[in-house]
Amino acid sequence: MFCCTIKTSGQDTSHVLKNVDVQAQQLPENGRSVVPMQQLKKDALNGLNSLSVADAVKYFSGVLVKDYGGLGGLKTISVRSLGANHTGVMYDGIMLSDAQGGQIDLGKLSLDNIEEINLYNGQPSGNICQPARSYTTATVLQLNTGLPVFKDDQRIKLNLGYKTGSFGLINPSATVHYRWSDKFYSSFNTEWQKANGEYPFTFRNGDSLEKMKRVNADIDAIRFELDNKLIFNDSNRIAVKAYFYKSERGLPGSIIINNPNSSQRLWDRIFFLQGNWSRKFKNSQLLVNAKYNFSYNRFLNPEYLNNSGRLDNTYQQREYYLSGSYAYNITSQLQVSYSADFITNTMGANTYNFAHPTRLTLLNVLAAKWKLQRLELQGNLLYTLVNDQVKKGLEPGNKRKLTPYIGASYQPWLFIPVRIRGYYKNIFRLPTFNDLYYTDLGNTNVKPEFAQQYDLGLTWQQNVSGRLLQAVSLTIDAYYNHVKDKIVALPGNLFQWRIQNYGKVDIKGLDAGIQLYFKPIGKTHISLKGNYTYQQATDLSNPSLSTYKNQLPYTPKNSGAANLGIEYKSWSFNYNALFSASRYQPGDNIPYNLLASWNTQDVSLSYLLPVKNMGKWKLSFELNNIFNQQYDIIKFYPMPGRSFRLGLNCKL
Amino acid sequence: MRKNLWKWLVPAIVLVNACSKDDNVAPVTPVINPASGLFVLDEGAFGTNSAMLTYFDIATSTASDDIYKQQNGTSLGDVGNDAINYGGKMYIVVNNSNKIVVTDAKTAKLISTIALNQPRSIISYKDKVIATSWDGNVAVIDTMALTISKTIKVGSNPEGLAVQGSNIYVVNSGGLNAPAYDNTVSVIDGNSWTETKKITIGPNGQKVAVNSAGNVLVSTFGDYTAKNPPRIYIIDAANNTLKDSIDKPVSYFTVFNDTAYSFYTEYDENYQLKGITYPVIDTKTKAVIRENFITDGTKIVYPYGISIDENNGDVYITDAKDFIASGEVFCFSREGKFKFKFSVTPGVGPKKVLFLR
Repeated sequence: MFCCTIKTSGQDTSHVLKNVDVQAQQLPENGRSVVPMQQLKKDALNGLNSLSVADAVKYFSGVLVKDYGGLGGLKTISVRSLGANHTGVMYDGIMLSDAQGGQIDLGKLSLDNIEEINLYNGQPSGNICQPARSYTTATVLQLNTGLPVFKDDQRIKLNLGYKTGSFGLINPSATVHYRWSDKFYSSFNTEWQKANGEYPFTFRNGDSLEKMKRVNADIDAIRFELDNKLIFNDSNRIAVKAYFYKSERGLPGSIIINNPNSSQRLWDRIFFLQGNWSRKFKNSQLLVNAKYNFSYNRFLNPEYLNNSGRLDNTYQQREYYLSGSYAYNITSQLQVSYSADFITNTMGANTYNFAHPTRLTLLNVLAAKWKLQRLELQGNLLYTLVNDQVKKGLEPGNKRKLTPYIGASYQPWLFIPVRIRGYYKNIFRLPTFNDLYYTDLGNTNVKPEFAQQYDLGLTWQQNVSGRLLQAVSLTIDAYYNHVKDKIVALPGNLFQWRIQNYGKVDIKGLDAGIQLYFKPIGKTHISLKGNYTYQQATDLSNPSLSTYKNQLPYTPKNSGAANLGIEYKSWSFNYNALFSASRYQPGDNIPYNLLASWNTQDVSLSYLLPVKNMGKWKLSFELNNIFNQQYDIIKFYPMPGRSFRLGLNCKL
Repeated sequence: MRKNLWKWLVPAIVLVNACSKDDNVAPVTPVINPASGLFVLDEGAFGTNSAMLTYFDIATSTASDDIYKQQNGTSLGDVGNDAINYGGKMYIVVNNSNKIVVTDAKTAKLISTIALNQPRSIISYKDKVIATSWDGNVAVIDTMALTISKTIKVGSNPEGLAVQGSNIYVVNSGGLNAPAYDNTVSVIDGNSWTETKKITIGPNGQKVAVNSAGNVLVSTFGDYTAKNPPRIYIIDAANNTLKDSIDKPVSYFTVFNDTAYSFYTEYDENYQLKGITYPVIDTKTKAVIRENFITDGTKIVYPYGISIDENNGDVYITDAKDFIASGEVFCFSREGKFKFKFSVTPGVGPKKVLFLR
């Protein structure tokens, strides 16, 4: 995870750290975390050959990214087999939302200006002064764009990048950081991504192998972000962000025998304006968040066989969000907090008989944290009140739920840096607007889908005085999840499936991660990390079906990732590998439905150009899937084979 | 992406049954040998190229894996909607692969592939095979050349086909134009191969069959309003006018010896399955003979097709389960007593049963 952080020369820190401190800093922040937490920081992200958040999170353990392939293909995250709807994605402290489908497409989230990605099972557990919404999901993925660091008299900082590569990729980006005063900073970031996405792949139909090309896989996306930060002092800061994203893409669809090419298109527009104010007092802390979100998408099927010969649907969503959180330190060890969020979601569509729903959500959380040197206890209660109103059709009743979380971390021996941790959380995901109101499909009687999580783990982070090894970080977590009333679509009348609370899933698993930090060998710095995931996700939905007690589709029992980073003077080399054991496509767990295991290996090499007094210029070359592995994550959505990217980045 | 799939995931129920062509044929009853085996067309899940052909050997009670793939080395394609036997050949409608696959009727060995845009149902008439295409056309296939010899424009999203005399009746559903469904049946003259009439019935017609009284029966799904509930319309083939209707909703039906065997999957206003019934109807008198064909309590998760063995009147009902798990085929006596069943694993969504004699 921290494969590149050993080198301190590249960091904007002016003071020199003592050797011991450097070691201590290398150790990730997850050792003390009550819930399992995984982190990727900028330097590590740079070594992962990733353009989007979706590519990077594949290196976390416990994570399955449903990747439909290509730059523009849908990519959603399922953590510990709970499904994408159980993961909340926070962008600079505020949850992204999609009330329509409930799944965030991580392929649309660029890594360009992301400084840090944190993945929490359960919920972020470090600070209990946080929005009530961050307690509402089974997993939280935090994306943070970070604060610019200016040198003493610097007013303006520029970061310019350009990437190009296979499949017609053009990817320029630019960031301007401006310091208006010691208290007021602005950052403007923009990025353009364009690619034809036409990659070759081999399609197997029984005995026949056919070389084909992915078509209608183009993407053209542009993003603007403007951040303003007013930092009065360490305990009083205000941040305001405006975000705009616009894209057009082809939806290549699955490779159908004799009908492999789709002509469906998708347009997206996302705009949000969000602000937060955090204020620390002597014994307490206040956090206020607000957000307005507008999103629009248009789906076009120009080959639809209705009378007009096309299906052209548009959808709009609006969200208004207001959140307040207040934490109070009763003693230096005991902290309590209260958070309240109010959310309004509306959705419109041009489809026949659309319900035009409005959802009001009120969230209240009481949380407490008791932190001693060797023991930490946490707990909270979340009260959710949801009210939906529709202009057409049936209205579901109000929903009220009270759900708990408790967690603990304990260090049994004072001088051994081993901690035992565990948590229990009972949480649900609400039916989405699609689940409830999708024309001729939605079911207003659908109940929330509950996920119970149990986790027991161990962390060990040790500085060692070996000849080669400097520090070791090891985490192992065993978990058990139970999902009931899982919302699924079941066959109904002609053309339509019906939404029902049908599924029941038992998930047992193990997440393990190890990071090794080596002593520099001359001028060479090496880091190594790996993780491993075991998942047994058993479908207990219907005893009368042959899929009863089967492993969930697309869920390998074993999977893992490894990263090696080597730095030598101005050179930096990274090797990244992903492995997935065989898994089943939807259907019975029988050989016919078995999808082969796969692994991909990527390398990257970057070089800091010897430019003096003209900023930092970095040239990078990435080779992805070097052995040209042909594989599908979702059957008949082929993934790209070998590809390359060339990048130039300049910091002024 | 996903939201768009919903509309396609369960492609419509097709019509046509092997016996309908015989109903209008001749005064002498042809000799029909007992079946030695069954070919089951498994529709497969949309977008997964999992249309399959399962072979079941009656003597040994064993079901094969995908016999088409075994014989030909490749998969059939995506969404197997319908199949018939004609002239020693099997014609398999593979909807989303835009083709009709022609195989040997006994061995399932591939003979030829005929491209047709989104085909749905298939039937034979004299020396021709006729298929509906969802793009609003009917294709006439020359069974010697195995090519499309003529394309006839009909209504929107045509589904089922049936033959009465020298006319071919085509049900225009307009299913993709919801809520503005089509509500017509096209009459095609089998001599001139032109559409001679459009008969107005109720909205969203699906399946069609004929009886020995010269009637054409068309099931409709209705438009999901109180005004137009699902029902069966009766057309008088003598003058091609709407004559009557049966106030009995069915999701699927097939006619054998003037008796309609059907099932109905009933949904509430939240589109939740309320119940499944299997009405048996006398098509001449409109009388419901039995509300439930199955008389011994045998449970089927989700009926998807009915095929009848013309030799002994055995009724085969396919069970599509949840369209993810392997499907099953149930065989009943004509009295509705369970005889045997088999799994079509790894096949999903079994639809049509063809009889190898």
